[in-house]
Amino acid sequence: MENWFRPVFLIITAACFTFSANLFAAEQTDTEEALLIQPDIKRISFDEAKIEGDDFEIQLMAGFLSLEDFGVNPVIAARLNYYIDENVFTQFTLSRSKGGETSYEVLTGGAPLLTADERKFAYYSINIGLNILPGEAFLSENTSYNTTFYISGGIGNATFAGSDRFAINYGAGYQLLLSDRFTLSVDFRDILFNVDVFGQNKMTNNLQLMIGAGWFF
Amino acid sequence: MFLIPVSKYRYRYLLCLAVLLCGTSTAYAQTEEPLELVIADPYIELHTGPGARYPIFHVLDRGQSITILKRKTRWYKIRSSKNKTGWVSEQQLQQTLLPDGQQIVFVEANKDSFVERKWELGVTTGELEKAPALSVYGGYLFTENLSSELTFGHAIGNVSSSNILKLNMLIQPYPAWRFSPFFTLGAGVIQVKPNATLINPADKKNAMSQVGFGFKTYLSRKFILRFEYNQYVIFSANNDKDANEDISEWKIGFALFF
Repeated sequence: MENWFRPVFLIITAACFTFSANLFAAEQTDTEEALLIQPDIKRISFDEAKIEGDDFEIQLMAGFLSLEDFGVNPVIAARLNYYIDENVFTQFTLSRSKGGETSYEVLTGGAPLLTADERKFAYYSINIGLNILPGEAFLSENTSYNTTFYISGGIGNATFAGSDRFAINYGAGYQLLLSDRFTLSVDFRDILFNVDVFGQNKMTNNLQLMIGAGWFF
Repeated sequence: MFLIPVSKYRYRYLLCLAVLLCGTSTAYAQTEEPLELVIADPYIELHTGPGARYPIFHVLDRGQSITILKRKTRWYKIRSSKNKTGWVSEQQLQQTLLPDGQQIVFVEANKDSFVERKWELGVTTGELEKAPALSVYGGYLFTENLSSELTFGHAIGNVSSSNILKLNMLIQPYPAWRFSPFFTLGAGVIQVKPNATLINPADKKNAMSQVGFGFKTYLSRKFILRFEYNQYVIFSANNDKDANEDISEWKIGFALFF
């Protein structure tokens, strides 16, 4: 930080401390005056938060991740969804997998490119999702389940080959709501990040297919 | 100054946040007596699911009584006196009456609750010295003007990545403004991890202090949009090196408040 900048910051901060106390006092007086006019009709306010709300969902997922050049490997993930409204949700995902051997390593039988530790794949992401096609699925004449087809995209970090790598991801999924709480999902993602193991820094597409079970709470 | 090997515990921090979120939600899920209401509108529509695009399968007339079972976002699952269950939008319930004839108004979080909030949980994204950065934070408001935040950040650069853990004090002088400015002062620890492809990588961990400003604006329901700019001084001076490092960061993000 520039040296002149620091005192300016401190002065502003100190000034704000002083002003805020005054302002708060003034606001309180305004509210008291406004209450002199009493409303004629009494309505009972009810806080919506008092009704049990299921806006969060926790999901456990498993599937396959195709790590470019490092083969297809099992992946496990935990995901927390928060539903902002009926259409929009945020997703927070943690996942783990492991890279296999590259074709080069198999063919030459030479020295491995990565150590066992470096082959570990750890990933997290923060996404925004959209329920674009809500609907129903009919199991029999009298049994139907609510479903939704969603798209999701976001950013995160992939730790692979000994380094943290900024990653973006996008994908889509289908969710079946077996009850108000319990869900089953299929989820497909493309996770993009740069890998520099082969000398040049290249963008890799890592495709991931998972199934999962979720619980609203 | 607390020095914690941040990277080793990164995922644990994230899990902690998840647990925190769960805890908050459970606290809100205290169901009291099931709420019974009488329909005052000419009719209300029952949908098969909690959303306007799920089909309407039943209509209930004025005067019928309903019981509220649960809520998903702004949709309520109700049961009619004839045992039909379905989902009704909050908007349609706004004009319902209590069994004794009093009118009830559903109050969701609004701008006033934004000013009076106690807790904030958010995620932000931006750049720390040109490297893409992500962070999560939790804040507690002592008063409308003064709060404290704990932030965990991760910046992913081409040659190294950094983890930041910091605690700050935040002053929000005009909490009711549309774009409410704030100023922060904080301290914490930064760990810089060079990428494995570099020769002789060794992690560097240093204490740091932070000063910053930004603004928060109320979006809707329980959401805040936030923008901030920070300057950090990393106390990296040692026997071999005279000067501390200065780095800057900007970020934008969303937060949920309670």
